[in-house]
Amino acid sequence: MQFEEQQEQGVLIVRPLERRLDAAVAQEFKLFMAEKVQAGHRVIALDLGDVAFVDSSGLGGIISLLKSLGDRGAIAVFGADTNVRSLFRLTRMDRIVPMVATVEEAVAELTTV
Amino acid sequence: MTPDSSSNTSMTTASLSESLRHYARYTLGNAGEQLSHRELFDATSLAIRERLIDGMIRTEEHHSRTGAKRLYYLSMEFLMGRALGNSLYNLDLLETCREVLAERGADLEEVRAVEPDAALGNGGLGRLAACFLDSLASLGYAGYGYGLLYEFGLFRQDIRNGQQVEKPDHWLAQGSPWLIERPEEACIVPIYGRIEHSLDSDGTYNPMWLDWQVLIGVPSDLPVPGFGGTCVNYLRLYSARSSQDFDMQIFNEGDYLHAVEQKISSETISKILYPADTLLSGKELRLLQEYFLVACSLRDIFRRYRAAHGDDQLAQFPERVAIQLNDTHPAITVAELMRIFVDEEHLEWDYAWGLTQKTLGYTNHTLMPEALEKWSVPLFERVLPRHLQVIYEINRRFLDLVAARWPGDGARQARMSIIEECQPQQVRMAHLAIVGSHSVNGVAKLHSDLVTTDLVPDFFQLWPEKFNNKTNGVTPRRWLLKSNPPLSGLISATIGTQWITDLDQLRGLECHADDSSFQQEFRAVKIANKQRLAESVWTSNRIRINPAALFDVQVKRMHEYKRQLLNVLHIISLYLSIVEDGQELAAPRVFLFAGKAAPGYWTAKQVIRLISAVATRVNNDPRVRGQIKVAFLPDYRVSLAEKIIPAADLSEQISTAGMEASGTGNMKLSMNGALTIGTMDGANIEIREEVGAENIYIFGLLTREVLNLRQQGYRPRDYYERSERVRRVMDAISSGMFSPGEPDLFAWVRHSLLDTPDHYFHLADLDSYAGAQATVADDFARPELWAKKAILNVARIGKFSSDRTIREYARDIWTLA
Repeated sequence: MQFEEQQEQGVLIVRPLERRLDAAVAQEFKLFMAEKVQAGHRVIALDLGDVAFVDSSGLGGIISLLKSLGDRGAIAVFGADTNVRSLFRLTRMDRIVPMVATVEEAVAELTTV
Repeated sequence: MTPDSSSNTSMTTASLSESLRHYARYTLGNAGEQLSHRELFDATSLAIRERLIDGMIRTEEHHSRTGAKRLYYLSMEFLMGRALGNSLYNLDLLETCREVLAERGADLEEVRAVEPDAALGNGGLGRLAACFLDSLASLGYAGYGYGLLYEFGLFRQDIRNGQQVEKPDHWLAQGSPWLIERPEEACIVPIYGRIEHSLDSDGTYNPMWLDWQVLIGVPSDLPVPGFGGTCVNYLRLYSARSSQDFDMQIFNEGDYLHAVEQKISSETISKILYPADTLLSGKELRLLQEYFLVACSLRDIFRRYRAAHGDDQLAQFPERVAIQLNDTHPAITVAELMRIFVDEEHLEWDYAWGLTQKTLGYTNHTLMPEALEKWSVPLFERVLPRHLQVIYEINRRFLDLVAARWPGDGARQARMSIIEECQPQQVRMAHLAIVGSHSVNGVAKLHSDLVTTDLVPDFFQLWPEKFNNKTNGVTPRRWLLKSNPPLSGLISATIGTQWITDLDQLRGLECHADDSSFQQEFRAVKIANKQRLAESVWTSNRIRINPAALFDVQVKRMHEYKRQLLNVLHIISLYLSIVEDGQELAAPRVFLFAGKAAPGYWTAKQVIRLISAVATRVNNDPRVRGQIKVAFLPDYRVSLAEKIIPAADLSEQISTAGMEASGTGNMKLSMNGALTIGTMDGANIEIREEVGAENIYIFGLLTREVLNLRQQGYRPRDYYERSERVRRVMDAISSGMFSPGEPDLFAWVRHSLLDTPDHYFHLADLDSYAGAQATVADDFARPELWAKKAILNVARIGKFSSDRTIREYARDIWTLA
């Protein structure tokens, strides 16, 4: 599994370069994100622009990230397509992970927390 | 209400012929002139489908332009039958097509006969849905069916040694030229999983549905042309596919076989149609099927709604969308719609509840307690954990309402609760459907009354305004125009063709009922239809039947309450009076049965065995001198019904009073000039009101009498002792007369009907039934009298057009413009 990463105003922006964030890559995703948290990143924006499908394992990976941050940090998701947004709504994850359209909105969301 | 018909694509013999050639060459890969019947069927259907697709696109443009309110009819069953003939009639291309095929040396009827029936239903409920789709399109409404694309339809029935043998009905084995697959509109359906009880960013309780598995619902559309072809709606049928991502994971792990097994397991969801009368309680696959239908349908409805109205117009949802639940099978819609509104659309509960109730309507189809669906809470929780939470919340609020209305009445709360308190707890799907809908209707006057007085009286007291009646109907296009060309031709020649879309016009035949030349023509039509059926009976059963005999027909699902057994008892009584008393019948009679028994329904299957045994005895006993013949025609289905019904003289509608919700076979048969012998049950009562008491043969206990007798304690032995006929028939069966090698083979009949208080009151009604049958025989022996009664049945059957039924639904429940 490959990622692109960059930082903007203290926010780590991670873009998984996968069509599917699913059981096949969920473990790898979790480990990668855990490393980032261990390295001290507390505010993370996930760019799902390349992801066309997320299954419950993929969502589980995002929840793990959220739990590992606890009260010490925050995440946001941006760039998700209709299908993925629909899955976030379906599971009510959109209530705990802000979903916005663009990187600018994500950074704004996270830097005003 | 109707799309612009001026742009209708006409089709000439030349263009159809060219189209057929094109599909034969480029789709079937056959460049030659010699096409098999199957190839001709496929190529012709594809050519006709072109027109249907043009019509669908035109219709959709019209409905979008006019902002028509849309009705979605959710049903686990659509008993569509064959489509080619129906399309040709509705598009007025029958003769064009006949000509084109004749040019190729082929006969249209033979080509039509190779089409497998789309048997995606068991009986009345599924066929009603199919008739409704025809009427919705013929009336120009934006009304669509949503169902499952079962790979295997209802089983094929063989009769071997007098017994039913079930064979798989792989109706899609050679594909279907009618289905248009829409993979780009596939949707994701989560199942199983668990709820994680968490808080959202505002500290509010946020139950998250996690660890689910996923199914993919792929829709295929079956075009549904209305009469005239101006409006072409669709029936959208979903197949379950496995999610590629799960397969990928296992493929990645190198476990190919496991991956394939998983795929098979996911696709099993839409594999089979459960036969009626199968014990569904605890059948996880059936619950998954029902949810799969609901989830796919609602995803599609919301997708279309958003495309038409944008994301923020949900306040208008009930003004633009109506959803009808055909029985409780799709009742999970109540919970799924609430889940979508609350979880996905972030609406407040009370507001979402208002939208849900205003959108949904529920049709009840049965008074039989065992047929009312319930699902165990543990099963429901495992399959649909979030939906169970939603149902609990609906129920909590509903019971508060009940408690406020009837303070301190705990027993009433327990009766009305959506959750039945037993071990394990059960989710009552009928209660869920009633609570979540703004309309609850029965399907005939008597049935709708019994829903309010006997089935759910508490709910009626709480919400009397919700309850209403919509007496069933059948489409005259399939059940008269198409199935009975000789009679429809005679009718059109006599009163014109308006009756095809306005069945009340048949009243114009009344004044011809006494006209001897019209009677003669009418009888000639019937005789021709009977000759055609007689040939078919010879082919299927190797039994010769006399077209001049009275064709006494009972065709319907095999069930104790429908009392095929009562019919058999009467046949045995007649047989004994002929061979033992030397009685001569006023007219010879042919008893025809057809119907499928659920594979696990022992008694229903034994009734088939008894009918076959009686047929063997009666048909081969020289003392009978051909006065009666009995035949059980195998594999009853829509296309066989279309052959039998036009040939029937007498229609057997003899269910125990209070048990048949409506019936629709009764309407089809009367519409085709058969006289009804029946109980005061279901729609028989309304047929009697319409055709006149003198033109129908009513017998037997009334509903209240049945209930009283049951309360007092029904003692069948009293009837045995009192009635010589009852005694004689029961003793003959017990003697082994119909099972010479196995004298005890039918001992169950005596046990069920005589030794125990038979729930269906066969013996209580036998004498009354035989009396009515004697009147039938006398009347049939007077051809002018019989013809007059038959003509009046046809003339007065207009009420039972599904066009009338759909207009009532549209006006009272769906508020379609």
